[in-house]
Amino acid sequence: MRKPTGETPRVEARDRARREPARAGPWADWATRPGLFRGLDPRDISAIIATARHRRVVSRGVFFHQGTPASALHVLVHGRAKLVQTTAEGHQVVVRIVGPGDMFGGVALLGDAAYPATAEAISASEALAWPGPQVARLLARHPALALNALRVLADRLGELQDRYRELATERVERRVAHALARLARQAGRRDERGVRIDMTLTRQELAELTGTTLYTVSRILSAWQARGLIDAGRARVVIRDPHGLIAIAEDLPAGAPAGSREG
Amino acid sequence: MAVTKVTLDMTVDEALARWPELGAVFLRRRMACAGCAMAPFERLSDVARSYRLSPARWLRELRAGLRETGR
Repeated sequence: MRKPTGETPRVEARDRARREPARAGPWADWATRPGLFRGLDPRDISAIIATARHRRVVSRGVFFHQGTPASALHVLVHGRAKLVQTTAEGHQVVVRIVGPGDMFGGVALLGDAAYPATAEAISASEALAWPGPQVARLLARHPALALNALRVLADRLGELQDRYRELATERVERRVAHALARLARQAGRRDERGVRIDMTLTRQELAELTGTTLYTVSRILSAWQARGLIDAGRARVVIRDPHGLIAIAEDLPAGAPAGSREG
Repeated sequence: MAVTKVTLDMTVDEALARWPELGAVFLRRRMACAGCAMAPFERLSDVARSYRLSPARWLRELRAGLRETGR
């Protein structure tokens, strides 16, 4: 991600961004994408980022642990991480998977809180981190940032409500299909075989994401593979028949999907 | 170059972003495409295959849907 920029910086536009002239980081397009920085002046974004601490974590490494004092708000720059809650009985639940541009550890804003989940990298990852009190100052100075944070939290609440409803009412098969659809939306790439979910995701993690067991997930994925819906590698999934998967997730009427056959 | 005509090799997302009024065509056929997680990946030709429509007829239907709203 540290490729040198070949362009000559446009001096007149840049010379006001005092410290970091024209360093095109992975956040170059953050101003136009949904998230914390949407709609902010790129110079403000550079200034805010200049105050962050950069944290690099290897695959399986941890940004912070559940139950420890929440000291910093994080935004992932690249890589991918899962937020995992462990119950007193040792059950693990994947609460969320974060990708580039996503914020996590937002509870640090509240002061005396503890992190409600552990943030573990599922591939080598890098994040920016701001101490809680500093975030409070940034939000006061940049109202657009505060509004974006509210938007992000509202989206997340909506997603959790969807997942809660799925857990309460849907068969496991639909929950797994929904989880794959969500992951495809987040990290999907079209290739010649179908829609590839561009992250390593073990069956155990998929089970923890859908509130079921490894055995059940394996059984469902094998059945879908036999029907030609997906290709499930060791830790990779390609959705070969996107419509067929959505038909399961949304319980679409039989007959419509091309992959389905009576009997 | 601006895209001026709906074609089967556009993704569902591209087509709906360009012509939001196409949403009505999907809804009339009770398709799940508008707002679908796969809309960024599936082309309008994939939609025809999934719902077992002749591609030529599907394209005519989409274009007729745009004409209705005066485009």
